[in-house]
Amino acid sequence: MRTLIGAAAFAGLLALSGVSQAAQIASPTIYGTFDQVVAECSVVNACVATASSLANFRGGLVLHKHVQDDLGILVLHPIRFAPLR
Amino acid sequence: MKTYVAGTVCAVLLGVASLAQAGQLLSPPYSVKTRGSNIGTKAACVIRNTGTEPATVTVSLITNNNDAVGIFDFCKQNGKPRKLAGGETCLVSAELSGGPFGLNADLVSPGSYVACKVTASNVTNLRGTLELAESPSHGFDVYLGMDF
Repeated sequence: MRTLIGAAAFAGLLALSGVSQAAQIASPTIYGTFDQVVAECSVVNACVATASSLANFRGGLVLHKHVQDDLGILVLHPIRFAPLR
Repeated sequence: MKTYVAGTVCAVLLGVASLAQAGQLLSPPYSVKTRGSNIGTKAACVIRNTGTEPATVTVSLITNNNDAVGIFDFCKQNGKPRKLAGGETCLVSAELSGGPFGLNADLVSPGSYVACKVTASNVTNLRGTLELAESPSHGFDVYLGMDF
């Protein structure tokens, strides 16, 4: 009986950890405008527990275009954003 | 012995379950860029409790250099996390430093990323929005917004 309980608990924990390890976050395919110049993907991790999981990861894919500011300096302005899911 | 083993198993599983309940909502990050000469970025994080039960929320704008300069924090009351009634909303806003270096920025090379985080005992009914607008403000015209 003891072995059975132990095995059941072990299997349960394996199942839980298996779910967290099969992890991926990805963005959909997005298009901004014809003058899009930069795509940037960034992620942030705010884990509150030590675990090999993406549960506390978030990410975003941003498309930018070049814009000239008042002084003629090229700067990047975001035109489209998609979260990684 | 059987009771002891069962108790241990139960405690472990409850522990795992409580980890899952450590409720947190986190927005995607955005690497703040220079918008133009003498133009900065303001960030506003808005949290809404869509449920009917009150929820005590801890809301923060997070950056890699801790370089956000706070403007408003309506998610605190007397310096403590505020209890949001059902349907109620609160806002945290800050001025951000922009620059070309994003995640590689440091105190010398300007730039930062921004994200918004809210923690509560239960986040099922909480919804968040992170909005970025130019500073000085033009009526807080949002140039980038993300829901979480």
